[in-house]
Amino acid sequence: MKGLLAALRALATVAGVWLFIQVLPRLLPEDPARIAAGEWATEAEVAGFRRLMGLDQPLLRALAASASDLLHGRMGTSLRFNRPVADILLGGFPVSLRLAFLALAISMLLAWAMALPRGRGIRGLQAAAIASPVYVLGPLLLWAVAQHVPGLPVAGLQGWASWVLPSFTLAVPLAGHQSRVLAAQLEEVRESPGIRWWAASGVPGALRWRAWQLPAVSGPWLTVLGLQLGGLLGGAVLVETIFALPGLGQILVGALASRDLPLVQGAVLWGAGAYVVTQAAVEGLQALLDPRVR
Amino acid sequence: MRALRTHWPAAVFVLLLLGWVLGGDGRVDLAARLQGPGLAHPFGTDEVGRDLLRRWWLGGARSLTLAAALTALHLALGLLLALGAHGTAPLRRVLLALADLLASVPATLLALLLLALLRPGIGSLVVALALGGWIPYARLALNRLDVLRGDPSLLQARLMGGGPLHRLLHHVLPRLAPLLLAQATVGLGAVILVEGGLSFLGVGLPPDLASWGTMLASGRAFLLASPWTLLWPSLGILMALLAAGAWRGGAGEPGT
Repeated sequence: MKGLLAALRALATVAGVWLFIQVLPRLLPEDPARIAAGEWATEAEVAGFRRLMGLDQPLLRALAASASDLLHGRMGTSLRFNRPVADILLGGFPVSLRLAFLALAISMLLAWAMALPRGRGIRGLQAAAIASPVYVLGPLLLWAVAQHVPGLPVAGLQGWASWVLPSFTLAVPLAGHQSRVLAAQLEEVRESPGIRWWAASGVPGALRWRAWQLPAVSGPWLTVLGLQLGGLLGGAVLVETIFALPGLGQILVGALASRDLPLVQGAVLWGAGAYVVTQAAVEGLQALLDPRVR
Repeated sequence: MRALRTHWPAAVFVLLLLGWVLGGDGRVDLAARLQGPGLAHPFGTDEVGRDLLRRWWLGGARSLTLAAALTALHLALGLLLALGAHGTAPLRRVLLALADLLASVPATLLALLLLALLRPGIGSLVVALALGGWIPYARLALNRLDVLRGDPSLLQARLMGGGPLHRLLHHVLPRLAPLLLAQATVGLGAVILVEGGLSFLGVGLPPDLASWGTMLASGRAFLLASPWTLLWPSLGILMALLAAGAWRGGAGEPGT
């Protein structure tokens, strides 16, 4: 029952985002079609762009057309490629999905490595990981590593080696955030009366860890992981640009540069949808794992 | 001494903001392009021979000014929306629903959506980043206003004849301020991060305006010829984000 409600809420949020994306171009003070057509466009050309973007129709008719499109599994047609938006996005998704899971896997290892030791040095390392934007780390890694290691491609997809640097780059800031949550939670659990009581009663450390500490720590960690995964499923815009990976992020940046409104709208809707659905799924998972959430 | 220990990041930011004094980008000197650090140019030179120290400092001042202005805008917007909406239940519900809706689109995607619709420029960047930036401030302020509603001191102020403006200025705002300012140190770091990313993609600040993001974007092409073009803005962003993070840690403690 509760799960159904959560699913309905997620669906309502995605519908809200869809409505927002459709209405936004009409709310702006300047006509997006005129900007897309360029400075020297004639009125006829601007009108052509307006028609391609679907902005010449009344709002309600445009909404109805877009809704029926979505229900048929389509998302409009790209202006630049003249192909269905859904096909283009589906083409980029496997790359983004693979990058997301590789980065998350690496970040989980890094996060635990940074969360378990205590002390000032490790806190500084966590702060540094959080303060390392991918657009700083990526180019620096390219310069420091890729040009010295033979067989490590600097850009594009050429076998498994192409995934090493992008997923590591993406993983570092994610790991920083995770490890901060993990460390705070570990500290709290270590000091909790329950754990101290079990320790005083002679329950061995390994059992305490498995039976009480790990479950107590993993709840907030899962929440952070879910948020991060949700954000990544829409495409890692910066990392895909730096390493020239043909994923959703690259598609979005390309669409932005060519002012391909239907493709931008589709990519943003996809990203928001992935984010919302992942969050709902993680909430459901948590209710299964932690009776307190139920 | 204590203030210095908590607020040293502010000193770092003020030092960087002094970069505005430099005024301009420096002279183009094609004969001295892509040099390493030396006596004439302590940080080296960029791809058209401009002094990198000068550009770095000015760019840092620009990045930080933009980030600080945006953070202030977010805070003011969030506060005003919360103050306007918290009295009437339907308005409040609309505001919270809008916040939930906008928060369900990842921040970079939201900014990119707007940048695809607007004319390129600083104004568009401000609008794109302001669209979602007010959310945490409005949520915090609404929360705090709810707590304050039943507060005896507010009732007393009203009974003693304090008008709405007096109560707002002397009783409500002073108690909202610490929370919102603590959030602002978080927000400052987030804005520096996102603005740098957008400028790096070439959709943020125009490339002819020096900022750390645009310097990174142009330096990337000369990575192998001269890593310095990339190194300095990278260090600048790292430094600013670390300082913002440290400020958050200090400002977050109660009573400081």
